[in-house]
Amino acid sequence: MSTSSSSSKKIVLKSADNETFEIDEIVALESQAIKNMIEDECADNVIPLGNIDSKTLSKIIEYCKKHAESPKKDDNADIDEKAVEDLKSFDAEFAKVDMPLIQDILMAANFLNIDNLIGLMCRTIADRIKGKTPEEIRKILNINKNDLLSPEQEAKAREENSWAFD
Amino acid sequence: MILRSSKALKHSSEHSPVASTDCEDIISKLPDVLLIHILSLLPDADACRTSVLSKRWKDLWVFLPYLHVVIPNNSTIEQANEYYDLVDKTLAVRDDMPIRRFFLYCSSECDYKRVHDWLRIVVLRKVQILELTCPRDKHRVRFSWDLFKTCNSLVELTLEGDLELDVAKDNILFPCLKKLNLVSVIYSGDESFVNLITSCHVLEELFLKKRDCTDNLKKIKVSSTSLKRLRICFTMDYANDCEVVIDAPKLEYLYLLSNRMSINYSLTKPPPLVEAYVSTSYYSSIAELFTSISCAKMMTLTYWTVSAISSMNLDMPIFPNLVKLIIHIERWDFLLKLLSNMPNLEHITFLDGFPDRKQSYYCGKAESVVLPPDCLPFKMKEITILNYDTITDGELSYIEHFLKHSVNLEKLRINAHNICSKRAEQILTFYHASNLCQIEFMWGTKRRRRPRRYKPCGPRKLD
Repeated sequence: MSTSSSSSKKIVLKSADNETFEIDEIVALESQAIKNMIEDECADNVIPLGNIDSKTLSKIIEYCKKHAESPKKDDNADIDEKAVEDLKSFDAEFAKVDMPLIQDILMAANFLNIDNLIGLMCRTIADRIKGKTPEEIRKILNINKNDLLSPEQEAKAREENSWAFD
Repeated sequence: MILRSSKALKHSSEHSPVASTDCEDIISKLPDVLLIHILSLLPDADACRTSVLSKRWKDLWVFLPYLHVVIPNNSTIEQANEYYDLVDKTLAVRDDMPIRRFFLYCSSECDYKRVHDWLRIVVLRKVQILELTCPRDKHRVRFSWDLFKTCNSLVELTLEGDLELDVAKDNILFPCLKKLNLVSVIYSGDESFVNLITSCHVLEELFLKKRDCTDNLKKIKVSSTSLKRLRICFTMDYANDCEVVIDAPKLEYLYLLSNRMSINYSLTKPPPLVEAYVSTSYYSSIAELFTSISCAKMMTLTYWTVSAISSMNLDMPIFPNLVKLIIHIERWDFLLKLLSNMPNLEHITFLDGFPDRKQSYYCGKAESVVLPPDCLPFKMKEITILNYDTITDGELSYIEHFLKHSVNLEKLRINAHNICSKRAEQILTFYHASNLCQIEFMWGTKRRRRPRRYKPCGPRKLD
């Protein structure tokens, strides 16, 4: 990372609520989508992200910064375990946010194509709904009440996977 | 895409049914792949239960990397057909998506032709883990080898129940199979079992649970050049004598369970064993078994095994590498004799208390032993006593003995159902030779079990 700092090119991201974030290009490259835009040279100075609000975006930048700074696994086979542990505990802390924000981050990470962050958010959601009843999960995930199954549909769904309800 | 304005509403209106339409159901807006990704991180049953969450979630289970098919029992023909159609449809919808794990539980009135078709598809979809269970009833089902002869994706296979295995000698089966579980299945004869194991060229792990003599297996020969882990269990209702020959030069882990049965185990050559669990009753060549496994680093000997060896007063071999022993022991003299054959033992766990715990006449006699076995003064680091009852006076004297002679002891852990605080105090006042030794008591029922630790307090003077 120190080697590339000489050319520390900046990228500006603009959130849905018109807040701008100036970040090092290397941080932005954590996003495969932005990387593609830069490589295809279709990225202007400012990249507008019309579907990501500033709160979510600043969280995502925090994540990308940390991960861009950390040595990559495939760079060097024997990177020290401390760095791996450090990143793990960062991820664990990072995921300690409320469910709406987790979902926003997941949605945005999916849009920006940041693989590690998608994985982290999916794991976090899975951990929170593990072992819960359908009713509890609906509440945790805030599932739309208008989308519920009719009693007949629910009975059928239960029958199809009856082994899982025993 | 996301309506920020409703965000504030979301928390305040959570319990208001009127506002439900304003609530953001962000998760349901995610693409299928992400929702399936989340589901694939859950235990199978948890993931499949999400089908009742809402319309959005109803059919996602179909695309999980595994499939559980449990054919309903006692259903009408219509119900059964409906279920078969559902499985057909599920397989069709998935198209060429890989099926990593497939679990199939047949019922007693199963349409095996359709089951065969599913298996054919699952093999094409690169199944890696397959579990096939047939109920134990009047029909015996022949396992269809042809489907799997060249299946180069299957890594783990479990067969259970009334499946008959008939394997010819020249077959090469499951070119990539690493783990095989055979649970109460039937064999056309001894040869079928031998052929099956020798045809799996990369097999590393085998679990064999034998059922009663109706499985046609009399002499079990496990012959494999690749096998590393082997577990053999005999069910309690099995009465006939049986012979087990193990020819596995790479074996690292061996588990034998045949309580109250006289099973004749033998190993053709001592394997490079790391861990062994032996729970068997007496048979004539039991001493040879121990010679074959004497290089193990960890060993568990249950009540049955220890009774078999100690009652016959067998000469045990030296266990030069053994560092960890878990044992259920009844006689103090036998324990000392055994320990003197384990010069490098560092950890010992006593299952169900100490020897002679109910025989108080032994009390105080521990000290009369001339010399403690070598492992105590030189090697012993950790002693654990698991006791479902309380610590008796008899046991106290052995604890005292261990503390006195184990110079390098780091931890003594006493895990009993009940220890009176007087006894605990008494143990703490015993002389201990090691100044590192930490004594830990745990008692009470499992739920309320809480450790009490006592810091090392240095060697105490012997009165």
